Amino acid sequence: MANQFPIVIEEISEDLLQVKLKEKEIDYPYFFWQFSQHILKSKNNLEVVPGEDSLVIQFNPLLQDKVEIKDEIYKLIESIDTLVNNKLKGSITIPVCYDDEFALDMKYILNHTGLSRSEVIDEHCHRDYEVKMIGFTPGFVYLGELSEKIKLPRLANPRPFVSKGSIGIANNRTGIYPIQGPAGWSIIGRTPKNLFNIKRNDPFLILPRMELIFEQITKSEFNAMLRD
Amino acid sequence: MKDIEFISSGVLTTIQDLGRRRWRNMGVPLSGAADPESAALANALLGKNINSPVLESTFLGPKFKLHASQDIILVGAFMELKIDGISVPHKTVITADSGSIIEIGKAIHGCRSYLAFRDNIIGTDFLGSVSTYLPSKLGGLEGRMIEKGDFISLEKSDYREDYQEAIKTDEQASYSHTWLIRVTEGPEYDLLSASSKDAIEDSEYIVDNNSNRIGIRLNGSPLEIDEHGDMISSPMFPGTIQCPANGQPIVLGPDAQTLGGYPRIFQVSKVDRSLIGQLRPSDQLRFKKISLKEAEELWRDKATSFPIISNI
Repeated sequence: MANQFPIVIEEISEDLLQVKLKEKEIDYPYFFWQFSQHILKSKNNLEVVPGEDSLVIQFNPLLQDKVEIKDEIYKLIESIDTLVNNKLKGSITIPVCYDDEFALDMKYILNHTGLSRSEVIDEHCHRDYEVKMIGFTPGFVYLGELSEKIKLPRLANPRPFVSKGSIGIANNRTGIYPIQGPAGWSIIGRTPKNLFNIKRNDPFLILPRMELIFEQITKSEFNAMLRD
Repeated sequence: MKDIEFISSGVLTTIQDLGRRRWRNMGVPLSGAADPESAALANALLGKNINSPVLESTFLGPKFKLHASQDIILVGAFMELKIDGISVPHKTVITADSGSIIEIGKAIHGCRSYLAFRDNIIGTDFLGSVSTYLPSKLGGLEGRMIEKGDFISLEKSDYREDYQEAIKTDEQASYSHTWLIRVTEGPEYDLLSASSKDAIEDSEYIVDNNSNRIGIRLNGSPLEIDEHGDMISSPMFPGTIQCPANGQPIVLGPDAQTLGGYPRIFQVSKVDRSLIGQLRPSDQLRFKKISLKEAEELWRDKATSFPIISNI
């Protein structure tokens, strides 16, 4: 069964190992998320960061042997088969306001897609998304698939700051910036919803494999929700 | 127990330890001291666990009153340390009496200094670390920077009286306004054009004003990169150097994002990674490319003469 997920491990620095799949196209979009959970549970002395098409392991090159770690990772892949599945777990609705005040790149999006404002909003809003990955900042989620009609590359000049709740698009993904910070995606709207709240028992509101639906709201609804 | 009372805050003073481990899979950055070697040394010279909380000062440190007698030590960027107006040396354990006024001055070279206390700073623990991460208001003192009028409490620590004698400190870097940072090739290095690859070691970069604990933005002659903004977001670590389409590299710091979509052209070698915390706007920087094997050896050599860093 191990051959179902043949992996390659590359050394990308003296303390980082990158794990990729030999076959680029597989039908398991959550493979790296699930494999990273598996590694973290089995190994208490490794840092693991999953992406959508790779994961990277950080180790201590003075106290740990990279050859041993590689062997362990190859062993772990043999015990993962039953953990990998595509079933979605839970659903959440996120309100979005697309007003110009929040949609910093609406003009750029209109110019590059040739669509009208309401068409862009329709393409973004009326669609069921899957949470493909979590990462970037605490609570940032990558959602797919974004409509081909509003597909744009990342900004050539990433912004040093966007506001909390900003919603960006890049390539086939849309994502929600849960906190203020740097951003390289085109900003299309903003949500008043708090995605990362350390006062909750589990601070992460959204996790990979959930279904997510956007719901358009007006500026006054946005402001009312912020006050709640 | 309000042991430390801040009379002034400094420019950006936060509580840090060596960071929040094993939550980067959830997008929670490492955080921790931007110059972890200096923070570790400060603790070690006091005979403490290197992961103990310290005060990280940026550009200009705070002024505070001690309400309990306390051993202190300052390590990192050279900021003048004064106790009751009298200048005292860095990298040296000093006993300050209850009631003393302690003042950390302006950095002339480098960017950040680390003040450690014999007793432990009490900060807000989040996911196993008290490191302050300002964007999400995590750790530290209510997740924010120190302000005038704040109090910090201390609690007894298990320190070893004899520990500091075993530490050699001469391997500590001395700072100037020009830096040579050793790097290895990142996974997307080959997206650089042949001429940019040739020119990279001769190019001089200036640290941008828009630099912080998240990232150091560099300005220089733009690198030519085959980057269409369409890379799948990939794991990033402190020390990863990203290059957006504008050709101006960004060196990721301790508060950096865990995933990013710009090509990872280099990784700062561990031997120089702590220096990221000492880069300040307008500093000049050049890269030196080394092999993975050299990077491993340099780090091993450094740790042999400066063993406390083995665990960073």
